[in-house]
Amino acid sequence: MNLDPEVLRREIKEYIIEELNLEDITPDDIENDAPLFVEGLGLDSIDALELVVIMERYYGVKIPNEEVGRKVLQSINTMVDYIIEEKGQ
Amino acid sequence: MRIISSALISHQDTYKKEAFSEVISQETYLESVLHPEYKDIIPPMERRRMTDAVKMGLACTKACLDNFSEITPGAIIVGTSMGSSAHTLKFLDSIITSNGGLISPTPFIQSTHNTIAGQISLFLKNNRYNNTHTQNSLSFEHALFDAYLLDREGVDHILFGSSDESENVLFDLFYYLRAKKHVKKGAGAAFFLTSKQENTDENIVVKSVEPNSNVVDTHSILSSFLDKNEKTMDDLDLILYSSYSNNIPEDLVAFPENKLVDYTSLCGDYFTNSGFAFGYAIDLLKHRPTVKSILVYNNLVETNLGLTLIEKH
Repeated sequence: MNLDPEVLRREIKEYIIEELNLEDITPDDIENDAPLFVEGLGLDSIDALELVVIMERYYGVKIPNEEVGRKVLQSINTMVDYIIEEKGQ
Repeated sequence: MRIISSALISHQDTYKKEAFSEVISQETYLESVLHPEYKDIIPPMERRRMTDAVKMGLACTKACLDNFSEITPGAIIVGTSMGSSAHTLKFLDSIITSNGGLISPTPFIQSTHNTIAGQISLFLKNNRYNNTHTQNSLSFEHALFDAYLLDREGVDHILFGSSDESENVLFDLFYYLRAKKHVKKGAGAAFFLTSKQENTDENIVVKSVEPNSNVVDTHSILSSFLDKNEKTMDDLDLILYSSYSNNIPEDLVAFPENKLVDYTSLCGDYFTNSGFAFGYAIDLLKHRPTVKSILVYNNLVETNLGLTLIEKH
């Protein structure tokens, strides 16, 4: 697995667009630090579950509880940081 | 029960097309459903989770209410045989391929049959009576019957209809099990709005509807239905039929052939295609002055017989 942050950011954006079926949105439209929920992409609670599935399915990274989920799923950057942290150990 | 508005999405050019019944034929049947531009109807963040069955239902709902924006439906009733079958298959497939891992929630949530009626309710912000009927080839008739009973209880402006999407794997499986060949694979949606207020000019009314299952003798059921409605076959101007055998049903062979229409040849084979026939009948009654009484004879499945009598008064 390539843990280069730039590669991961690109990959995650592509997975989000594909799995969440976001029409008319490209990876370049998603800002790395922008909030994923409510503002920014405007995702909802079902999307949160989809993001958890993406993290586990594509990166083998589990989100153990809601508290961790709230921190990790804030933005693309926080997701990438968590993957690097978990896989780097 | 009076019908004041209708909308169809089908394998023909029927969406928002007045008098389509005068131009469609077997020759104008399209290989796939002629979908409207859903981008213009459903916001993208809602549309992204919807399969065709839901999108067709919402688009038909909107078309039905186009000229009645002040109306709040007193009930929303949907007949669907397969629901969002694409999501059902995706969900089942993910159970097998996930190897015990997490499963994507969206296909599971959206695969339930009542997703269509639920999404219509959310779309209209309508929290009144909401029901879904899943009764194989009689799903539409059961929805219509529910609407008919509510109308008699005094509920006004009932929005009812049917929606089923095309899913090749399920379709092939069903027709393998039914040993039926050379059929047109169909899909579509048909929705209608009722009113209790009589029009001074002309009214299209549902005189009677009967979903019959576990049928052995279709002839006696048809005779009894006509008797109850004080009709003979001679009183009918047209019979729209579907047949499990692909031939004219024996009950109807004595009826003049030029007054018989095999509606499955027009809209394709799917379990709620009697919804298309119902919409086709309404369009015919509106635009063909000589036609005043139509029977929809749904025998798509051998042991099911749906009978619907629609008239112009």
